[in-house]
Order: sequence, then C-alpha cells, then structure tokens
Amino acid sequence: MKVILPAMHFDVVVIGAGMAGAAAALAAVAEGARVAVVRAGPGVTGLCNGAWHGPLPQPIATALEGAGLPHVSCEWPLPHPAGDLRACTFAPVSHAAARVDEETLVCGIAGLPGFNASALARLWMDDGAHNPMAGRTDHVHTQRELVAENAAGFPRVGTAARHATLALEDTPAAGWSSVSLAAILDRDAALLVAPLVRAVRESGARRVLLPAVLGLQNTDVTRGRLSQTIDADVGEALGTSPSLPGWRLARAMDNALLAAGAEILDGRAVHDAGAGRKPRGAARAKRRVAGVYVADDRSAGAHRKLDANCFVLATGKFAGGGITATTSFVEKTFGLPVWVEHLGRRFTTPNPLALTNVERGASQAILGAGVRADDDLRPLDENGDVVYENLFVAGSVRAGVNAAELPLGDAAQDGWRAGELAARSAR
Amino acid sequence: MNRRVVAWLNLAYHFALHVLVRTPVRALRRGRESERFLAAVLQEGYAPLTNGERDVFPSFMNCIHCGLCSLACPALREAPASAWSDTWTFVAGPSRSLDRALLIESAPCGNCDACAAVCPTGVPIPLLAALTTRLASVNATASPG
Repeated sequence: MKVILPAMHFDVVVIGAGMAGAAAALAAVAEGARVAVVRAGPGVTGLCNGAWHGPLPQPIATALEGAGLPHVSCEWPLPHPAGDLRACTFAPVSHAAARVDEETLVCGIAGLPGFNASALARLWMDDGAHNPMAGRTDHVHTQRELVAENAAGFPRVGTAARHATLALEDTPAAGWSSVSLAAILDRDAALLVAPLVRAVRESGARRVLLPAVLGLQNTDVTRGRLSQTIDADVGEALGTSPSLPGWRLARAMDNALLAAGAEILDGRAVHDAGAGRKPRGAARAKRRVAGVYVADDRSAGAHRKLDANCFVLATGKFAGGGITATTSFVEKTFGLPVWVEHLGRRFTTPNPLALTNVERGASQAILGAGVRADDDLRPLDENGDVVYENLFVAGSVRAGVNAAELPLGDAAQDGWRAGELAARSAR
Repeated sequence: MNRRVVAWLNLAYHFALHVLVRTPVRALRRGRESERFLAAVLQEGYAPLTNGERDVFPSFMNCIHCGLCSLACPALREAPASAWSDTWTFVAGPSRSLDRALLIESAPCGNCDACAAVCPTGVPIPLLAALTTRLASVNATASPG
C-alpha cells in the first residue's frame, strides 16, 4: 500500500544529481529559489576519470573549490592508466600535477591491476618543443578522438621515463582494488612511504606518478605530506573503475549542494500524471507538473510528495536509468516521448539493425536517444508542442546528446541554464 | 523371426529394469542421493540458493562493474586490507563466497543501503550481501578449495 507522507514544498525540484542536475540546483539556489534535489546515485558523473572537458563555468569552479576539489586548467594531456595521454581542459590539482618526463618515476603498485606503468613510461615527452597542448583553443569532445590523437604518438626523444612497481606491506593475497588501497591510505599513508622512498632514491627521480589511489578524501593533504616525505613531486594518473576521481567529484558536488542550502533526498522520483490532468470541458490549458513522489527509505512503502512551481529533469540516459529501452524507449520519470534523431520520430520498437551504426567504431545514434527540448529547455512531444510548461530538461537525458561523449563542462552549462530558467519561472 | 523375439525380450528386460524397477527404487532412495550430492557440492564451496534468492539472481546480472558500491560502503572502508577480495567490486560473483568469508566477518553489512542508492543499474545489492553472508556461513566448515 502506498502511504503518502505529508508533502514538502519547494520552488524548484531537480531530479537527478549528476553534473547537469547538480549544476541546475546550484543555479536555482543562486537565483534565490528554495531547491530540493532528488537523486538515486551519481550516475555517469561518478564514473568519470577526473579529466574535465569543455568549459568550466565560474560558479561551478567556485563551488568545487569550496567543496575541497579545486580544478585548475590543464597545460598538457594527462596520463591515463591504460597507458596513454588524454587531453582535457581542466582537472583536479592532484591530476593536473601529473607529468611524464625524464625526471619522472612512474610507479605501479604490486597487486593493483589496471595501471600500465611501462606503457606510461614510454610516453615521455619534451614539454618544450613537442607540447601537444600548446596553442590549442578547441577542446576535444569524444574519447575516441582523444585516443586516436594520442595513438599518433608523441615523439619519443631520448630515454623513456623510469617505471617501477612498489611492493606494499600487507598486500592482500587477492590484491588491491583502488578503493581498498585508498581507504587504507586515508587512515595511514605510511604504507606507501617506505617503498616510495626506496624507489625514488634508487632512481634519482624528482617526480613520481602514482595511480589514482591517494585517498577517498583529503587527497591534496595526503599528496602534500607524501611529497614532503619523499622529497619529490607527486601526481596522480586519471582514474579507472572503481574511479576515485569520479567519486571525489560526486562528493564535492554533494557538499557544494549542501553548502548552498539545497535539500537532498535519496530515492527515485515518480510522477503521478493524474495530478496534472486538465479539467474536463475546460479550454486547452497548458499542462503542468504538480508534484512528484519519492519513495522514503525511512518508512518502508511510504512515499513523500514534493510540490514545486518548477521541475528540472536531469536523470541521464541508460546507465543511470533515466531512459530504459527494453521493448520500447521509456523516459522513466515523466514518460516523456523519446526521440532518436536519425529516425526522426518517437520510437517504440528498438530494432537493433535500425539503431546501430554498422561501422562499429563510429558514433552510435542510439546513444543520442532522449527527450527533445525547445529553446527554453522544455520537453516537446511528437507534434513539437511543449508537454509540461514548468518542466525543464538538462544533460544527457536530452535527445541529440551522446552520453558517452558529453563533456562535463557542457553538462554543467546545460544544467546551469535549466536551473536558471526553472528558478525564474518559479517566481 | 528369432532375432525379432530376441529384440523384444531385450526391450522387455530393459523396460522392466528402468521403468518398473528403478523408478520406485529411485523414489525410495531419493533423500540419500540428494544428501550425497549436497555433501559433494558443499565441499567444493558451493551451496544451493533458496527459491527467493534464485528469483532475484537475474537482477544481479545488471552489474556493470563500475565499483560505485564499493566506494559508497562505509563498512568496507573500515575493513583491514586482508579482508578485501580481488574483484573490482565486492558484490560481483556471489559464487566466490569462499573468498568473502573473511570480508563478511570483518566488515559486516550495516544495512545502510548506500550501495543500492548509488548503483546506476539498480542491482539489489543488500540482497546480494545477505545472500553472500548466508553462503559464506554455510561454507565456513567446508575445506578451502
């Protein structure tokens, strides 16, 4: 039985707390609205590797800095544990400090899989003449382009950087995951110190590149202490799953939301369409979302209603469950029509042959499936009419946006705009 | 003609043996055979699932191995290094309960549901943790593989 708890009232309710949703909430708060965020998990944002692509809107930069994860602009591409370099526009300090050159010692850790130290060491570059980031004003959008660019290779001038594998005490018989090691280092970074000191002394390196394991929080403090102790600069490579950088980013945005005074509710929002039905016989009135229900974890089976003047939908696409595709495409929260661009209509039967691009390496149209929006970010139906006039869509839930290629910066900008529009409409 | 008779007699003999004799005999021995089967299986480190567990099992397949659950779990963070298993996430692979016996002891699930909240694909992780705990306790007396 669905028990309804007393309703909570807000000016703006944001559904989804990935980068787009979090940005929307911060924008709405900045416009003076009372904001609630309903979220399940961090979505694809929590899986990012730490590299920020696209613009970094100033309010987001300020929010991240306030939450303890300041981002700086990247002058050179960052090392990724797969063994290549990834260009990006911004990154957290611990990653931006990572370099591979003749003074660097690339350190893998015994028992920690997925860090190709030897391949990274071969990527040595002379950052004077051959800096691939020099003079770049564009930002690269797709992972595919980045890898292709880097595969062309940087000139391997002189000897490769050195690499080593650190053997830590108490390495579990089954090996480390980045999470287990980071949790241990959060409590006591001494585990890393002795093997690192030895390796630095033997190699004479002045800079060390480690996998992204320097703690789930307080990364810069740990990094600073480590750097002082071993008397060498310390940089973290980008993350791979389970991704510490993605986790830190998600937590930083959470902290920013709390600091801004937004209310965060855990759970998935469900819209009761009946609440917004227009009265029979009335003139064609624009439909509005009256409220959403959120399953309240504290009382099993109970649902809380959230009333608001305006809503922002930023639930993402397939990975986070914003859009599902089993026998048909469904937008899970409001049931909005889902558009797949190259088919040009609301699509109800996912025929794999029609949806996938035969050229496997090319962009896949299905990843652009989503909700169509007008210039004011309101969702449109098959006829191009606005479905709900007080609902705004942002981020990868939108049609034409490829979740795999959407830069964090673009998601943030999109979300920020949706939040501003929602807050202004809510007045 | 004789070959036909022999063929029918052969058929009759096997009919008597398999249908008339073995069917009731098997029914009588059923309990003991499944005991022998279970004893052998438990020794290998496996244990049967209950009907309820079997019903939710397909949803565990939604796991995309992103590791967000292992990042979110407050109990795992306090566990000693020796308690961690070698999978990226502590929830993948419930059949590997042998590795997890130590993990379950030293990092007991506090039922905070933080893992279920962050899972992008909606895997019912607390159910999986409960299943793994049960399997680990069943196998506690089994000899290590």
